[in-house]
Amino acid sequence: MEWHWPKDLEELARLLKEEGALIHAGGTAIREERIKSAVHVIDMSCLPLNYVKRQDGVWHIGATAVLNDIIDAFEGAHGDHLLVKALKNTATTPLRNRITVGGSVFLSPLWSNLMGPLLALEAEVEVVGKLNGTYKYEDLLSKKAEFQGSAVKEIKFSDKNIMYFFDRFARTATDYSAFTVTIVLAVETDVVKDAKIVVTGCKKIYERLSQAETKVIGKKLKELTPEDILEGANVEFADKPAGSGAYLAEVSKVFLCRGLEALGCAR
Amino acid sequence: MCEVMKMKANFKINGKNFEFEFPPHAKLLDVLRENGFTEVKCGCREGFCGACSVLLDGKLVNSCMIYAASAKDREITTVKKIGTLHEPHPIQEAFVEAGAVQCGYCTPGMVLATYTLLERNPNPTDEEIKEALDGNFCRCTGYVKIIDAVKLAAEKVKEND
Repeated sequence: MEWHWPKDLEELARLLKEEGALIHAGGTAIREERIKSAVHVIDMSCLPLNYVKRQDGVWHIGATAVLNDIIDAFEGAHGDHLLVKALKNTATTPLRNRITVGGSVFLSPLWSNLMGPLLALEAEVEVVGKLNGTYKYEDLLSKKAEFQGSAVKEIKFSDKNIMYFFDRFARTATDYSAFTVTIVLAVETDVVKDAKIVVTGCKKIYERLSQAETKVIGKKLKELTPEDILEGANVEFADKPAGSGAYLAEVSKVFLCRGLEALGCAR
Repeated sequence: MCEVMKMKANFKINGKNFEFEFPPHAKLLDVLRENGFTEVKCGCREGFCGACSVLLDGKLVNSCMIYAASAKDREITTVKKIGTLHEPHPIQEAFVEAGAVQCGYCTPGMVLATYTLLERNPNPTDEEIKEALDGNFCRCTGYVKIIDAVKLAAEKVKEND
């Protein structure tokens, strides 16, 4: 077994073609057995992918940027931002200094809290290797197996003129999330132009509440109640340590109502 | 019996250069402890307790969650770089004065977490202290005295500056 530290994307692409290659970014989610069974471990840390920047209204986050770097960059630019709210509730300070956005996107564990916000922001993911190119994050999630042999290079999204709500349900502050609720609205002169409502941690990994989204688009939020918007929306959960599936379904409805009210719905 | 393959890598630890040999799957915690840096404590081995905290290029991390190979050529700081028994850092003095040390097992990690906090934020609020120390568990003192120690440390560091 051999460790490699590629210095540029060409070298990375060449190494990704090797049989039995394992990509190591922060490494916090890679078990020792996985390292032992790998033929090649490709460490991403020497690649020039540790950046968080905004260009022409689009955020670009390099794959090796760690969660605390993202929090710092967004707090500096915005103060209050959806990603700050989501990531500050992820793991602990020393782990956030190690967990990279690339690893979190590729593995998409619920505990990273990134899945909901990136889906709601319609993030795109640029990858290097077998499937070289830019893909919707939603596509990467649904076709994860096809992306083996590729590595995340960059995440990008626009957050222009958005209002947001994010919350997560967990037993304690440092516990993994049982589910997350993300609502992102683009509003102009009180009228909702676009809406994304995402619940993660449910039976289907995540659910977009498309019907509810349709109900708010073109409307003024203050003329709708959360109950109107969420009528017919059923998110199913499996039983978890944080509660039974039925309980989590009820609590997620409370969170959705709370979020819509916070964004200006009628009470 | 099969022989375990080993690799060599360089590290800069507390300002000095070292070359260590270790298995490719070894964790930084084990490599440090096996080479004499026993001030880095072994706790949960799952990234929860913070006993194994070190600074990697100035950032607080759990050394039990880092493969040693991935820290190759990087700068590692343990609590012994911050202060020693005979020349303690104001943060270490504050922990003793505030009664924030009982068994002492979590203290190296707590001191390093406080060090990185005060470097970024010399006047932390209680909430900011709790956030910065969220990855460091203490099973003896409770946390009231530790928070008092961080506030006292902030005062001492400012006086020393």
